[in-house]
Amino acid sequence: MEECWKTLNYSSLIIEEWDSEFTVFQPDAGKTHYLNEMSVQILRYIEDNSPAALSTAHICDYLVKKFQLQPNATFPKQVIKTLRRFDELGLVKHIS
Amino acid sequence: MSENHRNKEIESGKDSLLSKSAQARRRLLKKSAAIPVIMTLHSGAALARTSNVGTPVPDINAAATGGSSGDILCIHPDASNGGPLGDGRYDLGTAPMVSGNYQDSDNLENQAIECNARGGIIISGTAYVSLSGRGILPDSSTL
Repeated sequence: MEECWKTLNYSSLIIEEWDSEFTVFQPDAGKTHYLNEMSVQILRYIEDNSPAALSTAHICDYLVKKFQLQPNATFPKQVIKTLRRFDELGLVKHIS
Repeated sequence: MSENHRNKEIESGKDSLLSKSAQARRRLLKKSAAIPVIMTLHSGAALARTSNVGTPVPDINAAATGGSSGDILCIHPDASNGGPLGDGRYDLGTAPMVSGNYQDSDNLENQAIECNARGGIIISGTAYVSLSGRGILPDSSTL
């Protein structure tokens, strides 16, 4: 079964843009993260679709269209890696 | 002042704060826009609290002003992971050693010379307390 994702306490995040780069302060963890535009778009897209969980494939399709990318085999792997990192940090929740 | 003008000034202020290496890093990150990137930033204050960097006292007499010879101490950086940083500071490493039993126990200057001859550096009692408080060095009262 494909992995699906939901944001976790997104409303508490303090997101600041610095010339298409972003710092995200996560009060729950007391941590600050650097995200590029694509990573922020992943979070925002998942949040915009809540309370429904989004599949990895759905997220990849959105990013390919949004950033006008040429689909390739490695891109979904990079997105999954990022989503898992988000999960480790408590930014998203993995739904089986 | 218009809003646009003010924003431009803020942007220019941000850029001037960046060193060349930081700008190169930003260029690299911008080129990686086709993949998602996330990095957790580490607090400088937290790093400072865990730092084992010490600065040798430049003036032995000033360091000892108002106290006994215990106001300066001879520290030997951990040879395996410590040493001079090249800017006057020393990384004391994970297991620095403290030495005493000077031949001339009453003369700070001679103690400093003896410490340097042993390969150690002189640090102030205040710096020592800071390091021993984190368990890097034994409590000065036990010396």
